[in-house]
Amino acid sequence: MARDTSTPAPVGAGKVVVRVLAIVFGAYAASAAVVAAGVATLILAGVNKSDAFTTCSIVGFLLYTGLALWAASARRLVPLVACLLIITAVGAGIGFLPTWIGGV
Amino acid sequence: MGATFRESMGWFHTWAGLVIGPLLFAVFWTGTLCVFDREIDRWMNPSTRLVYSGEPVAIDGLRTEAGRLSSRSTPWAIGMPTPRDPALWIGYRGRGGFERTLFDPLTLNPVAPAESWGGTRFFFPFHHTLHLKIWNLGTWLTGLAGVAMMALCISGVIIHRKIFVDFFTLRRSRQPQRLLLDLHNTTGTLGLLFYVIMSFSGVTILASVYYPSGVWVAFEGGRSGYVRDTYDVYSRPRLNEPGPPLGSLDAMVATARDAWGGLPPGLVRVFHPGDRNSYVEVRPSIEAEVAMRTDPFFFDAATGKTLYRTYIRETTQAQQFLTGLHFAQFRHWTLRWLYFALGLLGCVLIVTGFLFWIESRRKAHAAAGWKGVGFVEGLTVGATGGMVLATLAFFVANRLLPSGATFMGGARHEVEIWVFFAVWVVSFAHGWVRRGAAWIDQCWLAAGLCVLAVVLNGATTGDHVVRAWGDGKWAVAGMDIVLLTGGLAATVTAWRLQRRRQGTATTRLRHHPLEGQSS
Repeated sequence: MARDTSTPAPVGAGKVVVRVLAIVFGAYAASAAVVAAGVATLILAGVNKSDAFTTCSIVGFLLYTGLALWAASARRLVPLVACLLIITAVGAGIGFLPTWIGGV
Repeated sequence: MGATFRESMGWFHTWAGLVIGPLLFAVFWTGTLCVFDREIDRWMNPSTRLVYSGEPVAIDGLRTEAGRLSSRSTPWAIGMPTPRDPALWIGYRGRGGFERTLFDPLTLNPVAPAESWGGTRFFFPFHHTLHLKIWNLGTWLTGLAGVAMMALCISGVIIHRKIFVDFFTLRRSRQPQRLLLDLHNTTGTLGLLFYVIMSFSGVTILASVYYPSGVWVAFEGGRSGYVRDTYDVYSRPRLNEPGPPLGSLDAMVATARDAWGGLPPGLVRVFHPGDRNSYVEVRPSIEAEVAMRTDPFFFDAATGKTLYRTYIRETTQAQQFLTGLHFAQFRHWTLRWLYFALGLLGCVLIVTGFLFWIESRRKAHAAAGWKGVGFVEGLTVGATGGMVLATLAFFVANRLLPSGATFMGGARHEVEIWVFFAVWVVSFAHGWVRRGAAWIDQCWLAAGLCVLAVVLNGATTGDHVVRAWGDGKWAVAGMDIVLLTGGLAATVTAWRLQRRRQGTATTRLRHHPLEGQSS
């Protein structure tokens, strides 16, 4: 907590802003991309569309919560942001590429 | 954000709790009220205080009336009565949008319209949209609050090593900070499972809104495609040719009822009335089981022949179970009261979290000359006490406004809502001006409003507690009893807070000269 003596030196405002953005938006974007990827993969594997979406979206909320807590606790900011961006990019790629290139 | 994982979780819990707290309280408080949404409706709309114990209702006699009320081209529906929602209604698209005409379920005589939005149309939408419609902002904010609540529960468990000890610890020491933390921990552990289940099931209800990414990948046409495919919605186009008259709705209801294993009907809807392709949808009541089952039957309007029975997939049924668990519309009074109690416990959890934040920083902020504690104190008063006051003012305004009242172009139900928001906003101002003393003022005010609401209910409708109880109007009697209990709790709190404040003032006076001598 704020008054704990073990808390390290105050962090700059910029870093706090990036951290908060990573927790709220970064974790959400990553989870939404994984949901898209999961739905696309399950549909390709022959699962019913509604089953695929319902299952993945419900798991998505748990993933968002987990990623948000991870974003709050990760020691270094740059690898955290990089990781969230990579998950988002890869997830969105798997989720939307088949549609873009005319598949499914 | 900390040296260790636990410290990071502490940082997250402290600041996410502070920032999301006001929103979380608004959602928790209105959610708690929504447990008794239909009882609030009865109290606020006296014309619907009908006694109905679930006898089967024949609706064929209403076909002509429904056809007269609705313009021929648009669908109309009959909402079937339940003991909690006893007025049968015919809903149709009128000049001012969707309109309902109410009927007594036993005599089928018309009943005066419900003028207030009450629980189901004000508190319930507030709970999940905050009545913020721009860009769906309110829905997204409440979704964020739901996920934040799950994250707060998890981080809260992580920062407390001694979760079982915390469960049994309540130290009533003189230090308010200690007591507040103990209360926060006890209410947190006691209701933990409930908070997690409610926040999780709450966000899953609107999964198709919160995860449009998955919807776009899976369904053509986005969200409408999702609804069409997942809920297996049947429709057939209008032929624009006059058709035979509407067949027996009661026969259609009976067919569906048998297939559902005896579940009572909840909604009967007629599409393309008068057209040769007209059809009827019959849905089961949501009161009969936990899952919010949308298991509609579709019939040909003239012949009553079954056209289609919807098939809901198992995964969607699981989601409907989560939805039903959250909505708590199933018939189970013990659970309903438990939901209410746990909801209130959640409110205490949020308030004590705020108060602990304030008390643990008060001295440090005062020494450093920071204004943080003062700001948060006012915010807490407005966000929590203000919400309670706004609710009570909403009830009192409902009983004071005469039928058909308008104000500055607003209908009666709108004026009630304006009162709610005005009182809420003024409570924040009051909190920032009066700081800690605002609690005492607001507790007295809340106690006064509780009693006033009960008195006004008795005076304007004649349904005072004893009579309502005797007449079997449990919703009205129950609401009055809860208001009186709340009023008593507010009085005791106000009195104790006032005594403590006076106590600290006199102690300070008594000690002051001695301290002067010793230095």
